[in-house]
Amino acid sequence: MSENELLLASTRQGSKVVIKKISGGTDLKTRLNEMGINRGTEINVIRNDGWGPVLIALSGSRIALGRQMAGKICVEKVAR
Amino acid sequence: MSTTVKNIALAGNPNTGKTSLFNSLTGAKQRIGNWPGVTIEKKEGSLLNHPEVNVIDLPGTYSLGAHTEDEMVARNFLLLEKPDTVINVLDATNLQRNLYLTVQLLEMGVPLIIALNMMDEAGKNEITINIPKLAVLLKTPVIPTIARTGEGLPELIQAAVTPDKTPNLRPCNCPKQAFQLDYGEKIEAEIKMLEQVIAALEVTPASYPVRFMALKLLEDGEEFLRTIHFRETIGEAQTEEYHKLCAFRKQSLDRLQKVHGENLTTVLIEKRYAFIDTLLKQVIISPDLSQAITFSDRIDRIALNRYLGLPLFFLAILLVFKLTFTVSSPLVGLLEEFFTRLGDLLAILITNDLLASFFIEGIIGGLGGIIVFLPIILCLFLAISLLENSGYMARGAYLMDRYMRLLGLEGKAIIPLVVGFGCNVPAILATRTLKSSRDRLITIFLIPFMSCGTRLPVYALFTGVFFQEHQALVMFSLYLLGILLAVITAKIFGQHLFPGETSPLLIELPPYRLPSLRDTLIQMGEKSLSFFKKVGTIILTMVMISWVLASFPWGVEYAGPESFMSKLGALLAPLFAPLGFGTREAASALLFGVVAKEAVVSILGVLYGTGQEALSTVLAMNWTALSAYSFMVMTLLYIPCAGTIGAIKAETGSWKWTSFAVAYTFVLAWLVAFLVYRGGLLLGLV
Repeated sequence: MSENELLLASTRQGSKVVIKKISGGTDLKTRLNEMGINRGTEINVIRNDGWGPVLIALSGSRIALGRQMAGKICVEKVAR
Repeated sequence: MSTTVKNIALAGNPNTGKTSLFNSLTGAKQRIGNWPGVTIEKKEGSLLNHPEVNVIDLPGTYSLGAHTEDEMVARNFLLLEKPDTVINVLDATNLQRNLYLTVQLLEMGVPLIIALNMMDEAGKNEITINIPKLAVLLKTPVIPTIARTGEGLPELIQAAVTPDKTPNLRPCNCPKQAFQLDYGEKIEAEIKMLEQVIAALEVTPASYPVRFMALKLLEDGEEFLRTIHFRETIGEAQTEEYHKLCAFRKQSLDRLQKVHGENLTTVLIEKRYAFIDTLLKQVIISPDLSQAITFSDRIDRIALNRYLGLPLFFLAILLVFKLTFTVSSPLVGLLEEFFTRLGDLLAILITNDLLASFFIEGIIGGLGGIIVFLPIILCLFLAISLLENSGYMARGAYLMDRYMRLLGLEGKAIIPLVVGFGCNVPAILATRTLKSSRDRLITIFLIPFMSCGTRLPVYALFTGVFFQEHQALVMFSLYLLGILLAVITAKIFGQHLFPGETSPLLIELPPYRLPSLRDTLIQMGEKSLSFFKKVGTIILTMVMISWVLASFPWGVEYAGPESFMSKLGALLAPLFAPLGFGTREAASALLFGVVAKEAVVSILGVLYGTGQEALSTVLAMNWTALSAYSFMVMTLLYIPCAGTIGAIKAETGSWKWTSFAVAYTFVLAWLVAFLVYRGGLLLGLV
């Protein structure tokens, strides 16, 4: 991971990030991809309490991801 | 030539208003069943004004892959049952993701009609869609609808039943016109190669486009082959061909792996999304929604607040509980009254004692035992439909995920468990809100340990005699014991009986919406009705058996010392001796308690020959505090009541799991009561 990259699980609430890489099993990856969470997708982190699921905004919709899953998604911060 | 449409399937993402559209298309006449082999609800109904056309509501999915049970059910139905028309319901405010499923449907070559739903909300969000152009680009009819108001429905029905007259609707066996997405040179080359292999092997069932077969073989591999060969068996020769196909696929994958260096599935999905993005640029004008803070977001600032979220959710569950049990209770009382009166009336009308007893205790008792559940179940489903249709249920799943995950269950499992404290029967029905079969089954097995209302009279009786000073504390300890055993059971079952992880949380939080009265009422009515059909016979049978045991040999006092019930009790008594209550009275009461747990108290009264009032005195003479506590533990944990057994059978659809639940609870109850009693003796308690 480069300097600007971090895991979705450790992003700050309110930050805007772009998906870089999803690791983990094919099943999980496929489910995320199919919901539109792909490399290059921009998302906003709406809630991240530091534990429990992470809530993101993806274009018009709001999606909650289990924490483990969020720990397998590598993202990069987008400057505002 | 005109095609006769007999089956229409509804496919779409969750939260697209698909169910609402289904209700509009079918009216209130629906049939609810289960998809074969899974606990996922299957809804069917006849099309309005076209009674010969059957409409099937497929589970809401984001894709037709094989990654969740819902997806498999939807995909297998489309592949194997081949509906005459598929209506793909899209949320017009969220086209990008919704079109992903559309692309898959188009590739599958099903005769598709798109219902572009929620046009009103799209309008509110200032989204403009060029519908004719979308239809041309997808080579598919697109009909704008508003399911809530019924707008666009006549056009949709017209298109669905007369596909030949609808422009752009292709029958599925015209591969030349088929929709085709360009996956790029390298992947296309492999698809072409596999197409040739498939054609040469002559394994293609004529109704699937070859390109689709090749693509799916590449994408899903053996899993896909197994699915289609499930029906289209060609005999022994096939196995060889099957292996050949698998081998060719492997080679293709290896070649592509070198080119892309990335999982092929991901590449395919990204290509589809790229196609959708290009398409949308041509047909949609939409403000940038990515930064917009919606009305729902504002509510969620409170509803999902770190401190307020959980208390609010518990308040919501409390309301569900209140609505289910408190609101329904006057009606339950009324129904009970009605059945008592009816019994009294029959007692006067029927002079033959045997017949009178058969009708009053057997038939009326049995029917009454079923129908008193009606208000409870109606109220429960009302509450749950409101939670689901308003969008709050998904928030609950989000809030509880972190806690329920410790038990290995999804967040929503908390709702059935809490409802279980009122009555186990509706609680088992409430597990329908859970997505995975695994989580549903585990939760169903936990529910009997939630101490329901009918066990209270038993606790009240015994604590009143033996634990007068600590009555509340002792009762509380029983509730806690039940919860503790549920936690242990969840852990054991989760790891050993249903190995594999809880599917990780991945849900959409839909915008809050005012639930539609019609959809809520339909959901409530249909679910309740299907329950009574399934559970009624089981309850009635068990009531009948207990009536025979309690009334024969004919002439004895009902459930009295001379009845078969009591004799059977005497036979079983030694089984309970190690637990401190190896008496005919206790054993018979437990036996009867399987029909309804509150019956334990009345049977003890009959067998001790005292009636309810003097029962306390007799108990004080014949029981010790320790044996009383052991008996309460037994009552809490052992075999669920007839209604619960019926509900378990109805919801799991399996006698195997039902018997397992009965056996498991009994053995566990015996062991725990044994430990309590023997442990107490060792500690010198009496």
